[in-house]
Amino acid sequence: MRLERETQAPQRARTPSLWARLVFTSLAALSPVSGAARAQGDASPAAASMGDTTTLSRGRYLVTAADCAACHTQDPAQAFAGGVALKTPFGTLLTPNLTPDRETGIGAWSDEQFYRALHLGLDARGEHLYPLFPYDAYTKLRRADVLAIKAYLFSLPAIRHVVARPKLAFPFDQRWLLGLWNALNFRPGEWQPDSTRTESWNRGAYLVEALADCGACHTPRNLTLGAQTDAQFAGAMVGSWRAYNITTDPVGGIADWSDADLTAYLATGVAAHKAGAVGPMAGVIGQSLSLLPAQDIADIVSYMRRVPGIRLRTQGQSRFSWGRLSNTVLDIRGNEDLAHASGRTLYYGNCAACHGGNGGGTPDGAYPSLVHNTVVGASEANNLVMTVLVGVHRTVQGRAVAMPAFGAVLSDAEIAALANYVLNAYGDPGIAHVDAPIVAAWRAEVLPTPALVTVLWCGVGLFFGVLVGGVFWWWRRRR
Amino acid sequence: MAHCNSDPYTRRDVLRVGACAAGTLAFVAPARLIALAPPAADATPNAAARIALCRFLCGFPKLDSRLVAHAFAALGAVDRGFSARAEALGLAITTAGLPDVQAFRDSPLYGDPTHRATALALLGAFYLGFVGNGDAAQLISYEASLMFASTQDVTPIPSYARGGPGYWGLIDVAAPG
Amino acid sequence: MATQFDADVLVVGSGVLGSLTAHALATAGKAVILLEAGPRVPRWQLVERFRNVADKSDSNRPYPDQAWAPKSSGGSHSDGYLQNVGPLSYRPGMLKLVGGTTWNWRSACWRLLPNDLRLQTLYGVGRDWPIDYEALEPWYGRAERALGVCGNAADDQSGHGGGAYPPRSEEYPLPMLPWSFYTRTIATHLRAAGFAFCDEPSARASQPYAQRPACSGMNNCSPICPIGAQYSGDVHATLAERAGAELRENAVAFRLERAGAKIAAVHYKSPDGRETRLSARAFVIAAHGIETPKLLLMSDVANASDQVGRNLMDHTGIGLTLLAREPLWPGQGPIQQGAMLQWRDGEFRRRHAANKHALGNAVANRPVAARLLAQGMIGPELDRRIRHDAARYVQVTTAFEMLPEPGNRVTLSSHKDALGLPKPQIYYDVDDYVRAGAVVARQDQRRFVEILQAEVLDADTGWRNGDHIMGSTIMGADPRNSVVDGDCRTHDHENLFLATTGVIPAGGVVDPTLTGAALALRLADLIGRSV
Repeated sequence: MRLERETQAPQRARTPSLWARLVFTSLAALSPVSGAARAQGDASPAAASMGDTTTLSRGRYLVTAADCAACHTQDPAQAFAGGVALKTPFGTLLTPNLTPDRETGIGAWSDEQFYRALHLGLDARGEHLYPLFPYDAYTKLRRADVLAIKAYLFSLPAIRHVVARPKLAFPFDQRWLLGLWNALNFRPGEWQPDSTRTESWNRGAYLVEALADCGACHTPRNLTLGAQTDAQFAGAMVGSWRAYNITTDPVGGIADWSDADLTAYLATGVAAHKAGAVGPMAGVIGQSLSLLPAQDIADIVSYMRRVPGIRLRTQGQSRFSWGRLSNTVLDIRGNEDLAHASGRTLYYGNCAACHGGNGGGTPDGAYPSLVHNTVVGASEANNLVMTVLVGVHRTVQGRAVAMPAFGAVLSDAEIAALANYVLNAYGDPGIAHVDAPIVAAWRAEVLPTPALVTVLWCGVGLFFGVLVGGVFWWWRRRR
Repeated sequence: MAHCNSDPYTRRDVLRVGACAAGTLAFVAPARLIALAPPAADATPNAAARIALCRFLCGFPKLDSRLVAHAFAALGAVDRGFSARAEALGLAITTAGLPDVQAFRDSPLYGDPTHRATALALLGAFYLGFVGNGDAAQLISYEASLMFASTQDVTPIPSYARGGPGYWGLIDVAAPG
Repeated sequence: MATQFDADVLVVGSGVLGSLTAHALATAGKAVILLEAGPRVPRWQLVERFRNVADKSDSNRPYPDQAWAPKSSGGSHSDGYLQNVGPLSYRPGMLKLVGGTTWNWRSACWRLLPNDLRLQTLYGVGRDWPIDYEALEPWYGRAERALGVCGNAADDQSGHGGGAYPPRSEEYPLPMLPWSFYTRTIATHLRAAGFAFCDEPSARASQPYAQRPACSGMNNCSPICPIGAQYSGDVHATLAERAGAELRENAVAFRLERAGAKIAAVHYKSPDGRETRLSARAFVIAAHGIETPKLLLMSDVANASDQVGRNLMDHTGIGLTLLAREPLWPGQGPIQQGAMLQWRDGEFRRRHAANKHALGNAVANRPVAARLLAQGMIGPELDRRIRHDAARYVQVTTAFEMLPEPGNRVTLSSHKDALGLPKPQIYYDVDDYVRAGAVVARQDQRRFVEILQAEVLDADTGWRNGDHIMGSTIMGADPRNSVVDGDCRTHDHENLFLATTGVIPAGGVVDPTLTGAALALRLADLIGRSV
């Protein structure tokens, strides 16, 4: 399926309902606190009745792998107390308090209630949870693992934090409608290992499908914002960011990355001279993936190496094959108009100090090259522009990596000119037509109205239209 | 892949000469830099000879022709006789059949005060990157200044990164100097 | 009877001290207006302006040079601004733009020693501070956090080779930057010869800190850090605005209007000459150590003591440039690292000035190439020698402690600037205290030459500006011989405060900005609680 490149306004019907989860992850990644502290919170000595240390450490590990903190921890000193605001096209949801506080958290929940939340997407009252909470992934968790997670959460300090129940606009406040959504998009059931596959593949599948839920960002969405199961991992939007195609397609996906590259990227956020995690992915690596054992990363790679290859976008060459070193500073040195700066001038003034006058970064790779760079060479400019706007904030194993944000220093028009210069010089010149309005839209993380909303309103309209029409016909018949 | 932090030695079309100085700012647009009109020198047939002379003196065959144009414009602006002296120097070098700048340095030509001054004026422009002093100085180049060429493997060109944060703390032994 | 004010607090000057003050007060909920004489210029433009400047010998030159708000040098309007009438040319760094002079500094952030504040009592020279180190200490910690200072708290910064000193109640917010091979090697040699060599604490982010990236040694701290790893005053100017302060640029304050014993309003001129009057409950002048006394003199306020403008001090110094025998490679890391401190404090201060030898670490290609070309060197030998000499170039700058002399002063010149305001006139000279200190320093210099087996390139620089303006609005307990009290409040006007290193009555040998920042935070706290 070949679609147009997404370089204009973000298209409708391709926006997942789980954007905001990862918008928040990007915000969380701005925190200077190390990933380790975020994921684990303040673990107090385990209450003896809550479970033995094996269960607790398994629960802690699972919580790290699933990165619950990304959505449920606002302040690292108050781990899992919820209250994080997640913007969706339907309104803003606040994440619940998962600490064992009996009134404001889940302290009164039984094992069965907790299992049903993750397995069936039902809250303690039996009402549907919004699928912003990825129960479509967590349904795959084994019951023992779900209870280990619960035991771990219950071992943490109870924090009193009232989180308001969401109030979305009609008809999205009608929770029973989610039953329809589930019917279309959700298949509950624990993960069943595939005995024809290796152990590593099976462990990788469990990590990817049940825990890390890579598809939440990387799988495009269908009309009802459920996952497009026939296009798994083929790439999708996360707010203004693009989660790239990570299937085995050699051009559109990551088949031409070496195992060493993939492993390094997942474990540290950097594949030298090729890729560095930006935006929400920086947070995923810092708070979750970088804290997993090396075998887990190997298992994830093993699984991802065997997913079907899909190419949903026209892409002439892989993301890291674009660009060549070029230094054009002589065009401006001594001949520069700073009041009406060209993209080139903006590049030299803002970027070249770190990324090099020729775009090659530093020899040690600490400041990455923009040439053969998977963000610069992507077939959409989103991540390049977003990175310029908000910078990079990645803390891996306690070590912070930072690129400053330029959103407060440069206007939308300046960022557009700068992006076009970089794309022309170091990326895909075919998409070097970024303009100020699109930068403004990305900056605002404007969530477009998904087709689902239109369909639902049409449905409502149709229903009332039929009702009114039917009443009118009956009245006419009576006369 | 070469990882020079700045690699200004590329061939490009000749652009117009610009002069830059913070002192020429106007009130209305304080950040605007004024570019001079292209010098008549660009149109003369001597351009090739000048480029050849400068590349010879610098020992750098890839010296950008724009820098040559900037240097002659700047040096000529301070001293009208400069281009004539440069032409004379070029001619003397060609006539003497000197193969390279070492030969020039060792030859009686370099002992001639006029030729020496002319050569040093040009070398100053390309090595240091400017001509003149203070407010009236004219920029020839910054990143492309030849004074940086021989140390690029060790120290940065100021305002550009040589390595990532704290890179210098990892260096244990001095590079050969 | 309610009086309408334009603001609760009016701050003149958006440099580091004014912006820290404005930010603290705005965060405390006060209505703040912050005036800045110069324009607002983003960092990327300053970086490109630097690269485009032809003659880079004056680090001020990349900065905007405007007729209505001249710098101290580096432009046609600025070069004729300061009128020096004394034997020495006092021309310290001064910029006029949002963020002030700390766009162009080397960010050394030392604390004073407890003894520095008791110069007269301990050594019988100069003046005592009216407050002691204990009063200032907690504010030093806050200032270090605000500026993001990296340093080694274990050092004995008094130069006596003992334990950690001066005392501190909190750690440096950032670990010290690693030493380059150059710094490590020189430190080893000098320490072996008995010199006390210490890390120089600086306002550089050694790790990402508060939206600033980490320092990666672009070696351009002065004139401009390309990435903002080094602190500059615009950080707090921006934070002040985000906290609700109103920043007005291109607003040159020229008169403080008195009403009885208080200050009622400030008058400022725009570049076109138009005048505006703003009233406030309290006023903080943070216009740098030359413009602050100039404003007070033009307004004829706060000067019952006749000390405004007097007691002008700097850390006037001498320089030494060497070629070491072995390659050391200055230019890796920040442009300055490390200092020798054995003449920082001791009984000798009865007789001669204390000093600090600071080790320069700037890339040396430019002076090296200029020198070799001046010798007529050309060809491949020129390139070889540039590399050879640049690898061995060692620069030491020695700063001397100064004593307050009433004859060293800023007054109003009869020459007027573009706005019709008097230019600053400066009389400045060093005294025998400093000259005696220089004798000792030169002995040290001769030892450095021996230790490094070096060739001397320049030991005869003459007296050099240190860019550290102190004393010009001097602090003291006695209103008869000082301008402000220990809280930086002018003796004459209870609602007029001065946030400037010009209040410093005794500056030791260390860069005064951190001390100024501590005083600014302290006075902002006082104003915040009382206005």
